[in-house]
Amino acid sequence: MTDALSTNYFDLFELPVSYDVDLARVQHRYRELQKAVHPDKYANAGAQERRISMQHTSLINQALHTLKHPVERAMYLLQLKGVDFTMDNETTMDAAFLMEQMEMRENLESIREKDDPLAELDSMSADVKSNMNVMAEVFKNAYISGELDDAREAVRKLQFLYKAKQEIDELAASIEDEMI
Amino acid sequence: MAYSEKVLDHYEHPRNVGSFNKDEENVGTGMVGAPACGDVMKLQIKVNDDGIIEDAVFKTYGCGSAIASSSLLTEWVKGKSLEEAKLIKNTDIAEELALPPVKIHCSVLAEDAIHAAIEDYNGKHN
Repeated sequence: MTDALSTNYFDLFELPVSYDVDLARVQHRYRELQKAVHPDKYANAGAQERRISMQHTSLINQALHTLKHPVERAMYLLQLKGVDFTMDNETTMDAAFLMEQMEMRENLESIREKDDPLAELDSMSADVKSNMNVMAEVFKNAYISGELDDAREAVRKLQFLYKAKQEIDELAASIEDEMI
Repeated sequence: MAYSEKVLDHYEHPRNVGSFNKDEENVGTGMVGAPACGDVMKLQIKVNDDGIIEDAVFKTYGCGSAIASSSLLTEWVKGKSLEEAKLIKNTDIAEELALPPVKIHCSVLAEDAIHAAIEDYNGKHN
């Protein structure tokens, strides 16, 4: 475990470095790793060992989160190739894509006036989900063929779609709450 | 996070919200987005024969700072020439609105939006 802090998340979880991950395996490996570094095991250890155990625990949690997350996993893959997103101030992108995003949000704004807002939201959510799947494929293909700029653009769109899906699902949840 | 009074003012009373027909000859449209926060901003300018921005409108889906940045920008560009409008810096917007460092990117979005709108207009006239 001593090397864990310097290894990448895929190696740590004994996975191939790829966008496709077996989530059941991730979960299984997470439990194994967690057991190995559980702070309780270090209750009687020295301060330094306890500190290292805590660092490992937080690394494992961060790795789990990243590997499970459809967008962060893609960003992490690009980071391993040296593509940095932390200072992503670049704002211009595909105008048609942005127009779609705007129309979708306009639609969301007036959704409560529809006859069956929940059905509308369900179908919007499903649409966004399928767009995300398409975009994930675009990312994967670009990543595999080393077209990192294209891969990065796909991730930026994935970020948008992920955010949109969250908004749709949150709105659906709050409308459902009001109906109870 | 606490918004400054100026941000709140623009957020609660946004100026110049609206749309122009993007296909019109004298209209320039800038669409920009910030992936990390999912913000989308559309800024449109109407330019007269002397190359002066006669009118400007925006539509922004995003946080208060993004809305305030675009609202303020539409006020600033009205009456300016395209060249003058290009000179507006995101730092001017951030300063005017007292944006905290984590919200600076909202002002960047607005600056990029006006540049994109000018570019779109110029594209129609070259």
